[in-house]
Amino acid sequence: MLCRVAGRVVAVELGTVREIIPARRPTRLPGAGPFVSGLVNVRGTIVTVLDLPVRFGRTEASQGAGSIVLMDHGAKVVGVAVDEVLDVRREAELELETEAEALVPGGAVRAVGRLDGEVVALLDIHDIIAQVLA
Amino acid sequence: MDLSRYAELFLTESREHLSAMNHALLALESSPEASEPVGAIFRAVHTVKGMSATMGYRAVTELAHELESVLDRVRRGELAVTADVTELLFEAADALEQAIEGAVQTGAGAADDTAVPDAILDLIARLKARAALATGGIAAKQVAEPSPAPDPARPSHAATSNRLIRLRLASGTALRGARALLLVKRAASLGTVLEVIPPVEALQAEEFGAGFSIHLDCTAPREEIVRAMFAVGDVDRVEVDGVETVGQPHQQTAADGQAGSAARPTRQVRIDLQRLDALMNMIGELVIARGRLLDLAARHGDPALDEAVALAARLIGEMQDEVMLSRMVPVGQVFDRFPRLVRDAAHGLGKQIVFTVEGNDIELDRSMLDEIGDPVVHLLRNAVDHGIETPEQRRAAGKPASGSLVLSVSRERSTVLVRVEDDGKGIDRERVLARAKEMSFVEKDKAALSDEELMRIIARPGFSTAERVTDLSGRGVGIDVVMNRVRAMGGAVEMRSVPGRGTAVTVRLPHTLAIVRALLARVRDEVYAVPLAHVNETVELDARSVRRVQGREVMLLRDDVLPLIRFDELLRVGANGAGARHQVIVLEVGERRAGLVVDELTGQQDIVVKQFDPARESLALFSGATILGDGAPALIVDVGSLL
Repeated sequence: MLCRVAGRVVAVELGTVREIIPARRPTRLPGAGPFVSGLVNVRGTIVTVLDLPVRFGRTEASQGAGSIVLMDHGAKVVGVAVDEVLDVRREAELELETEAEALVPGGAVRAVGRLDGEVVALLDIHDIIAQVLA
Repeated sequence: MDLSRYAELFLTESREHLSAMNHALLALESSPEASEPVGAIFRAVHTVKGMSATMGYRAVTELAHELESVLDRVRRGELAVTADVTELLFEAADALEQAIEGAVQTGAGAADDTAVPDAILDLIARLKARAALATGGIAAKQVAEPSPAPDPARPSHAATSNRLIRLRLASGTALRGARALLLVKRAASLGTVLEVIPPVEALQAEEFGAGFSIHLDCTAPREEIVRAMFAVGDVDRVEVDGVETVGQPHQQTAADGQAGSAARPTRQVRIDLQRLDALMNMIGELVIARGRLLDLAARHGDPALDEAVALAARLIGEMQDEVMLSRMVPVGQVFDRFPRLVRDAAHGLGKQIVFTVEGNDIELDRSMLDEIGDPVVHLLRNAVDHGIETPEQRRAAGKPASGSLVLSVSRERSTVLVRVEDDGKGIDRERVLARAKEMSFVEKDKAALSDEELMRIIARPGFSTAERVTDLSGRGVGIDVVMNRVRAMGGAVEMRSVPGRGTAVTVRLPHTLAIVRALLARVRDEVYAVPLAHVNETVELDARSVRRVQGREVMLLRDDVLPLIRFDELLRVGANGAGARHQVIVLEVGERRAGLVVDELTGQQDIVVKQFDPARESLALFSGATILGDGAPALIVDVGSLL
């Protein structure tokens, strides 16, 4: 799945994506880093949301705009806020080049590819989530 | 034929009987001459035997059978209840429990003739030896099988092939569906089952009255069929081709002179806990929706709408109460196993303890009760292991040789108190203080510890003064585990210890885990929920009454000095400008009090406690989250962690 995040295009494997919901104002989780948006209510379940644009270097929190991608992370459901969900493509179409490091500080980019001339970073989203959740 | 669907039911019922058995054993141990406990143990063992035979759990059945033989000797006065007999019975009770759990786990059911474990064979042999000893070496074995009444009126015709067997089960038969299936299976071993009325599925679902019928194509004589049917057990009446045979009353039941638990009328049904949880969740959502409805109706100002909404709101409230009540169970359900546990622990240490349980009938939310079991076990073990002294030490201290240990449950306002109190030596404050200094938990020049400080020190993870690691406790985990569990439930722990006189630990719990009444408080643009159980009062913050004592902000409230907690500083949101108005929520947990400073109080509400996944480094000040009337999540303040 392709998403726009802080001006770049990133790809996330579709396998664990559960649902995409419009962004809503999160309840702040005190003490947590800026990369955690907070808590949102998804039909009675409280979901912790991570702010992906902030993780990719944007300074202000993305409140209320964009979408939240709900994903299964082990037994938990975690929300990942993105600016926009663009498209769903096959991995083969991405023309992946392996082992491209240091696009994002702290790793988490599994490979870099090209799609329609644009650079796309394939994220290891569960690694990113695991780094943030307690 | 699948009996595995009855395994869970079998397990629950067996546990109840085992619990009754352990109780009776304890009673027997304290008064070996009494006959009532023996009867009670016998009934429990007998029922377990019957049920396990139905399920095809061989090890359990055989063990129960031998146990029954020994008990029979005791009942007839052929075997005296000496200490080693009680010990053997206790051991057998444990083995029976293990055999039951084992059988259910491995699913060693019906046709499966799994080997009986060695340990159980060994115990069976010892039980046999015991029973034989009593009768002077003659091992007379009683077969508890009712013999069919002879019926010479009508000789059987071996030539008849299509037979109609009508069967009636004894009233109060446990696992009726399973028993019926077993009868059908038994009939099938005699010939070909042509038809079962009502059909097997209905039998399985226990959807039949007292009896049912089997059309059987077989050439066996009538007597054989009758005998085979009675042999399955719990059969009241067998009718073959219109000729009826009434079973003799069950041997043991007749001997007891009372039907025991088997005949109790069913006014209760068992419900899967998950169903109740689901119901509870829905009620939770409904309570939130009610809040939203009331908000909206208030904005419209339509009297008819108001009335309709008020009615719906009231009904939702009543429904919530009913669902809550249906989840309440007496604490005895979990606490009943403690007398046995304390007895075993005391025996192992050569201590004499009189253990009393008070308030066994007080009810607690099911989910809460499951959670509280382990912490209470910790506290009891601590008391037995470290609190109560050996008989010699007690005598030397001028105390009675046996120690007293009391587990009591009581209600106080909207909380339930669970107290574990012993009359042992109390906590050695000197040693705790010395060790606390070593580990630099306290200042080097600290002279004495208050109860509060004492508890906070021993609750530090890894703090233990136990000199030796015993089977019971002293592994450096204990009170901190208790504290954490209780806090997670939104409760608090208090402790009082007097040297030479004993220790009392009180666990204070909210009534239920799922829905609590809370005060909603705003700090900047975020609303937090504070459980009302810990709120004493609220006052407006008056800058003139604020002082600084030893670097801490306090407030004078009437004649008291109240430490203040600035919630905004704790939450790390920027301070708001001078002159802004604040409210103070006066929190109280046990004897600790503090004032929580917030921006504004926005109301009171029943909130549904939900879990959330905390992020790394997020503050551990919250016990959960809830959803407010407007649909936004709000964090629930864990008052215990603030004080």
